[in-house]
Amino acid sequence: MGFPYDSATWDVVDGAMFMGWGSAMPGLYTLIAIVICGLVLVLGNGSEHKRYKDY
Amino acid sequence: MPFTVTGLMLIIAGFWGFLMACVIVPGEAWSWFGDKPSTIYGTPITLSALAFNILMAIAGGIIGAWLITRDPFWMMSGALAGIISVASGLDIYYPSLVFIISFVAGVILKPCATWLENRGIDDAVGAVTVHGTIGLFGVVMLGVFASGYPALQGAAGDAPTISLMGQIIGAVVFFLCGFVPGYIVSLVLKGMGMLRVPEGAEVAGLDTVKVPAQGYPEGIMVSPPASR
Repeated sequence: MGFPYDSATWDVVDGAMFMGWGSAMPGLYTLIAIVICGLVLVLGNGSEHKRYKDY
Repeated sequence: MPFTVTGLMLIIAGFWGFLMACVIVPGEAWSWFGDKPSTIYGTPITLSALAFNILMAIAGGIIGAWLITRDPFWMMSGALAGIISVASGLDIYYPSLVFIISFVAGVILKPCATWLENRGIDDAVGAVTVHGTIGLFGVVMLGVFASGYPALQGAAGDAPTISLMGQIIGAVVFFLCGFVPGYIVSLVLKGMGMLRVPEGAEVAGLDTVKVPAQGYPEGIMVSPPASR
């Protein structure tokens, strides 16, 4: 991805910043995180329901 | 189990203070800057960004470990692993990226611990895996995601930039700096007969052997192992 400024120095950053600033990467990361949460919810719920049948 | 999990939660809470203590406040004689906070390396950071990234790391690690183990001990260890896996880039990672990396750390935590134990490494609390294996994973991940970022405060060309190879070399150096002195000290302790307790004491349990008090009233039985 690389540093989003021409010169690799923090002098050009005023305050804090995050990776992917000014690009689509934060949105992509958020989408992946949402997919992970959804998959874990579905997979976990499925395996827990299998155990419920034992009782 | 409850005491162990409570202890791990205290470590997790402690990590907030530990990591935030690495933030250099502005305006002091020893500060990097007069008007903005920074890390100890002079790179920009804010307490709020750090706090949120740590929270996302805890969430990712717990969820990843839960998916694999369903075990509260490994879930709390997964939270620690999550924090450790992103500690190298907490100042620049985007929170969603923190969640993704820490989730992966939580997923690989138990398999890594099992792999180590199958090679005869006695890691009763998973500390070698949480701090060692996941630590190395985190150092390398920064090289994957943050290549090209300046690693320190300094003028362009003077400050080194992050690279994957640099992070891998750093991981190897960290491993050697920890492993070699630890191995030598363990070897000396083993030669002096101070490294391990006798097998009989191990089987009886160190609480029973070393602590002159009972942890639980007589008659309270331990619970049977949970079935899976």
